[in-house]
Amino acid sequence: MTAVAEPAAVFPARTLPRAHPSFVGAVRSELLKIRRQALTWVVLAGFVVVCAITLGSVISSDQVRKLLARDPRSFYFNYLEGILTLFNTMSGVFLLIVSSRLVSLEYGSGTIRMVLARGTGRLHLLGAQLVALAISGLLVLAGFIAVCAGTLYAIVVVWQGSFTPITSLPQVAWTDTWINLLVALVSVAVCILLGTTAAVVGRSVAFGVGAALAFFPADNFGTVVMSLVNRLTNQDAWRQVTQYFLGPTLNQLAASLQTDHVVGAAFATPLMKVDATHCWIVIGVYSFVFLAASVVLTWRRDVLH
Amino acid sequence: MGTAVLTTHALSKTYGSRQAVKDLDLEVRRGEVFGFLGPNGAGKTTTIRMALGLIRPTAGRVEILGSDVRTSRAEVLPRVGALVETPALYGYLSGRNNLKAFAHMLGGLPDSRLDEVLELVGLADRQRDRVKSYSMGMKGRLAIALALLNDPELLILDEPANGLDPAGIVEMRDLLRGLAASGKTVFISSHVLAEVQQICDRVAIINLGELVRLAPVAELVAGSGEFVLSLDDPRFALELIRRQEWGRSARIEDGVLVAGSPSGRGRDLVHFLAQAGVWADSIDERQHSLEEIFLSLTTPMGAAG
Repeated sequence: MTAVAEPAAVFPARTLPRAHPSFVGAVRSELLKIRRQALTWVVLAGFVVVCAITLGSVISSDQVRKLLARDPRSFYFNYLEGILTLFNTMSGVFLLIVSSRLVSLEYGSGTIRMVLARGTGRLHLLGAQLVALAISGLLVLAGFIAVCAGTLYAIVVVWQGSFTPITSLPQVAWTDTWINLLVALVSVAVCILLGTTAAVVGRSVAFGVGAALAFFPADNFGTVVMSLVNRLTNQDAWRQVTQYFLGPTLNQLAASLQTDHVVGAAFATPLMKVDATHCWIVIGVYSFVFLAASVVLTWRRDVLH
Repeated sequence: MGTAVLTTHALSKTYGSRQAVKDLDLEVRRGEVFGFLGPNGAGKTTTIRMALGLIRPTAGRVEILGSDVRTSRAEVLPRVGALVETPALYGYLSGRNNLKAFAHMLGGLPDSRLDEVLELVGLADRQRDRVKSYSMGMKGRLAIALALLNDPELLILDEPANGLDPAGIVEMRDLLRGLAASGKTVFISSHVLAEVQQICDRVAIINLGELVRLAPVAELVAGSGEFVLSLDDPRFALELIRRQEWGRSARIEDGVLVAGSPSGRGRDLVHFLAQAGVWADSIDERQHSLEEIFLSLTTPMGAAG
């Protein structure tokens, strides 16, 4: 430390603004933390690489080119389906890691006590973290849409000479575009809530990130396990229970909303037919439970870290 | 006597069957440097955590700057600078960005204030480096900078000398003196009793969750009416003094004579010895060290003795 003999040097005569916990300030602080974590950019770079490979394979595919020439509507729906799966998977990994780390690092490094000791409330901080994560998720989605829209425009114009094959698609194509956007937004929200809940429950980086990343593989694989158990036991309950699994329900959501054409799912779906209302209820209940658990545990538990 | 800045009223905290803090009543007055001492597990950190709203008291309450911390934390705690246990910082952020993250939380502070506190703790040259590359001492200094960021009226420092080298401890002492001189109230918990004795106005000593002594440091270490004399032949002087009614408790400790005085005044003792032809090289009033007081109040042997 430097010389501190003069008290005046410690506290200058001018007055500092009166400090008061600020929600907008807390969001800015959380965004700064997200932005400055190397892992954020590493995972995002992985996302970009996978996107580039996927879109590159679309651009270089002769089959896709022929499909566009033959049936622009099918081409467009396939494109939408592909990019939604890509986004849900990659943004899921990104948001699960970023959200669980953002929240759990606060406990793991003990900085939570510094933050709370300055008057920021527990729920105030949790709210700021959720908003900062939502902003991050929306930025990733916006970037992804820009890249995918640009790629779509480029390949259609290059292959067909103009963008007319797409602009002349029937109204249902645009309705389905909005549905896909809605499903992507739901996926963003669920991943943020899941990552946050895992971190709040475990209060450690290892548990938070591990539990958040394991959840979807576990319930997707759980569908396969239930199918096997159902065959072994001939008990229908094993099959029925999969309609309440979050991952498979999220995978089914886009298909249940787009009734004008058949939509496939890249990952597991419930082992029995479920409609859009059922999907919304299951996703809504899980989201509510995640949010309620995060709020109650954050609010009630002492900070001993 | 200054107004109360921090007050605890019958503060208690129980973990299961273990009472960590029991009916603690403290009053820290404006402008004083208040030492809070106790052996490991005495309840110091639990008390500090309750004062900062990190854990909920089982009973009792804490008032800071006249308001209950639990009901007015957003108004009160931004006026408090705190360092709880080891410095908790964002390792992946630079020193400056750590300050910025907290400044955002507190509603924003001018960049010049960040420069000031970084300069004050001697980290201006390393402000762009990530905190994970800092030494323990540097982290401690940055934590102090965070505590000072918004010019707090009360500083609560839990073991601020942890990890500091001897020069750092001296600088910390100067800083705390500077703070006190500029009108700040400092509440400090420390194991470095010599430092506490030098900088604190009053101390509270707790053991097993209970307050065992609260008094001004000067009163605690005040002389016992005995004097320490350096002499060429202390044994001869000892024999002389022991023959006197007032000198029965005289003794030799570590080669120096420890004795009472005929009148309670040192010069009368010197005069008595001089009449017998014994000249003292030096005489000092015997004082207790804070360490002696602390051990006598907090260890079973000390308490028995």
